[in-house]
Amino acid sequence: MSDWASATELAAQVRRGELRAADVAAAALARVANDPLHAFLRACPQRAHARAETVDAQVAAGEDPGPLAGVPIAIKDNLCTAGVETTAGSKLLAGFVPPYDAEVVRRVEAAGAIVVGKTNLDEFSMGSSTEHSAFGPTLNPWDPSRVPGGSSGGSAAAVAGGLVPLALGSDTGGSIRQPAALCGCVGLKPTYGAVSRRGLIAFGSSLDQVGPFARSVGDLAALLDALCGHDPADMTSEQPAWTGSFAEAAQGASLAGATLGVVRDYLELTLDPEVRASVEAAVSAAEAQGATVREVSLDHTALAIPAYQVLATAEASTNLARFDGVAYGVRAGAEGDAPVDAATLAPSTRRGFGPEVRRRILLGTFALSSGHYDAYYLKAQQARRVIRADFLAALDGVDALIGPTSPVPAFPLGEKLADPLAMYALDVFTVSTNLAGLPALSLPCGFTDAGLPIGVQLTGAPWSDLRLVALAAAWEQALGLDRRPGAQ
Amino acid sequence: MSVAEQYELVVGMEVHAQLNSQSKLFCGCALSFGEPPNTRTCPVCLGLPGVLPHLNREAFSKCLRIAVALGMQVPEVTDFDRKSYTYPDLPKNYQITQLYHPLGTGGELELMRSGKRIRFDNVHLEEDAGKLSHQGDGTSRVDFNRAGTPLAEIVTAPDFRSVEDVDDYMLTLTQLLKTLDVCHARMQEGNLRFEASVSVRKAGSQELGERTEIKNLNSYTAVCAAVTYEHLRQSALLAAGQTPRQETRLWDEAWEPSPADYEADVPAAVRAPYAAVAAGLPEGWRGRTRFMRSKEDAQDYRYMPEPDLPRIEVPAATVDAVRAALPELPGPRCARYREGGLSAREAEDLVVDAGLGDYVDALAAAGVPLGDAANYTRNLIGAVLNKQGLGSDAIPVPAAHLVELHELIASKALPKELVLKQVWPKVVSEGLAPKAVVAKHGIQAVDEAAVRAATDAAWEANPQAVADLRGGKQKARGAILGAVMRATKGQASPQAVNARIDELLK
Repeated sequence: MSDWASATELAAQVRRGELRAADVAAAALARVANDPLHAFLRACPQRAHARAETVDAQVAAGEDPGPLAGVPIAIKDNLCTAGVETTAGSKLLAGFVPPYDAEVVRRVEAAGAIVVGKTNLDEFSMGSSTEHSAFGPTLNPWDPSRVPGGSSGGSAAAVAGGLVPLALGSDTGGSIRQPAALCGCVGLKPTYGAVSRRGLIAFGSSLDQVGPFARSVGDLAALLDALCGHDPADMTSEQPAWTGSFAEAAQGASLAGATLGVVRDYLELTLDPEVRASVEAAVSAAEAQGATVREVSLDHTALAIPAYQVLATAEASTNLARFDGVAYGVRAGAEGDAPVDAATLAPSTRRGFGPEVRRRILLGTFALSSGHYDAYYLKAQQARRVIRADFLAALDGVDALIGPTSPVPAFPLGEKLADPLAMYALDVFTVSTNLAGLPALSLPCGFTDAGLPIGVQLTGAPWSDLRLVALAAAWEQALGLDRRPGAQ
Repeated sequence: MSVAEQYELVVGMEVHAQLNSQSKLFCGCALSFGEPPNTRTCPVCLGLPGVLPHLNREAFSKCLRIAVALGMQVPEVTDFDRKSYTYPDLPKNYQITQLYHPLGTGGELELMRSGKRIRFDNVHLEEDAGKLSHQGDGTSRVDFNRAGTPLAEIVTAPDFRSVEDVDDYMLTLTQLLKTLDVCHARMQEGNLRFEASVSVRKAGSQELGERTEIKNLNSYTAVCAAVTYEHLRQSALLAAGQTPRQETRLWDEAWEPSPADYEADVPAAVRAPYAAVAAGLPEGWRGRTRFMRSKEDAQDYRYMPEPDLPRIEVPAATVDAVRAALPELPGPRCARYREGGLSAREAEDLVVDAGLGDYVDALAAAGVPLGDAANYTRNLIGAVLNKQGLGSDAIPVPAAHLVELHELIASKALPKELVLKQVWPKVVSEGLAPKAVVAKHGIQAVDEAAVRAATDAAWEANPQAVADLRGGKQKARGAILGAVMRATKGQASPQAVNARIDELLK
């Protein structure tokens, strides 16, 4: 059932009239309908067929159908889709049909892509395994007894498993990069502000960023060209400070002359030996291509997870406050227009949230409470500034910081569910880039002996997204991995 | 002596002023003025998942204008915060407001009547909530038309020492907001909402007592009555050896003094003795404050910086430009009128009805003495507006015409009575300048000899009136005067006629 055609090749064929978008979409919808990974929460065939017809009509009329013409794309279910149910992985939002599209959904469709379905995630993006979805976990395409990572696990599995060539995810503390690493695909968290957050159901607003998944850096670049750009209606969005396109940057790039900073502190942390060996081998491969490698240090790495947990949960506790059971959620006994009983509102709402979401709302509420704000929130903000300063110093004269994306490869379903701290610790290499607002990309760099993919993370200075993609394209070529599950 | 006279009143005021921008603070919805429920809403002001606020620059500018007009310090960078509380009329269950870096801090305002200066704590910009309407059957309905309406919250220092000062402040601030064109300032429509923080202390003391915040104040009268009552209640508590508690109280304007209902409210230990309170209330008093919640029940608002909005830079040049463009403020304007010789009442009226004030200023600028300008405007223009049912924003007579009218009178070209009785009505009805009216209708003063002749003729023709006058009935003058006016087509000066009558009587 899987299809490994690249997005750029599909688009080229559709644009030339050699393939009908309607056929491409129908095939993708059939794969989604038989999704063996529970990567998708739902398909949206009506919307997909309508879009595909438009693209085919544009091709027939000699109009430009866009650079992603006819390319099936999966959308993480925390991105609003007009007329298509959007749940954020929560029972509380089951049945919520947004009246608007997220700006990124509008953008990818304007570029010709066909939205075929919505993908699974940890509830409200809170998790690192997609096991916290209210609708059941997603399976790793390399080993269905293992997690795909999270929170964008559905999008990563859909791409890596050959269901769709492209997907959108969101990354608050690693939610794109970690599942990309665990599923063996490419994922980027752009510089904060490069991509509109409008229509993204917020988790931690100052950390959230929408980003792409693809099976190759070339496809990732094509999607990034459609995604990035200033959205005047999102006041935290900015006009990206780069010139040129990602697609051009990904072509003919070279590692020669690049300076990579290997983060010593990351390799000194507790790390799966196979992950360490794979990342070190990838660094050697880059050196062989002419890259200069130097060691750098990030002194305040230990502050990252605590600071992240305070800030992300504080923001989340307010972002999720609107789900109070009046307009959303599981109501005890209330039907239709029947009045809501204010006295039972809070308890019935709490029944709608899963345990991880409840935990984080409680943490965030505590951190903002009278008498704790200075000790937690303000301290965490200070740590955030220190961490950003660390990164900017380490990136001085360095094109990208290099380290593992995740300390471990994909782990068995259920293994870490009972131990939230162990789950949070998985974010050790990813959260600091969200705190610092930097771009970071996860690129597959090898496999464990058991055949599980391993990812290397490239982190750049603010607005160096284009440079990161160019380096990743060259590195991908140098590594020459076959990234189809079962093909090794 | 009322127990309130033993304790000094200390009041601070908080005002929520709805800004009169074109659209809501964070979305494009038009502001609502009584439209059907939930017809002026969108995903943003309903707080749907995934929406983001977008700051309305016009509302921001209007709040900035308030800050500058009140002489506040405006920070170089301002930003927004989330204030969390759960209520069915608050769509996101947090309000976007400003706590840490409000748009203005400090500052002061000169009051119109007393000329006293009131200091401020801050002004900040925030979004209004929706509205609950209670159906009376135990259910409530919510209307989000108001949700997201921009509010400027203006907070004073505890600088008021009397109800008169509070009243003066409400008058002055209302005028200020209208003058700045930032708020419709119609309290009955809810676009101006006052809350009072009241404490009392032993006369001469410098320490502040525990304060109560009074809500549900729907009119200027209610504010003044509530402050009066609270002064009395807290004084009665202190006099009885008790201490007022920090709490929020509601104004209940329907209450008629009666001990039964009064004592049902809070436990005796924290209740001011009824007898002392009742003794201080004037005859026919209505209304009281009621306990709503104590400080211990106050919510923890869990403020945090709003991550969906960037920090906003306010360049010093912008503040300077706003300051340079400020209109004359009500306090100084009122003082200017008083210094120009107008009575306090006249001065206040011209500030409150700014259209009349502007008209007076136009006359004065053209050389009409301020007192004359105010008289013409209040009497002549006032009568025209009254008769035609117009407001002072639609005065139908150009100021230039009144200036000319004044010149006719002041130069003594025509007798004043003639100008007012013969020229002015035609200026109004025909829309012509006074001199044009004079020329068109050939209006001229009758010379002294003609008046004498006409008076003498009327004297001869009205023997009964002459007899009455000789008998001391001054009213009889009217018959002679009327006859002379008819004969001279109203152009004779009444003084001249009366002077001749006096001669004839000798």
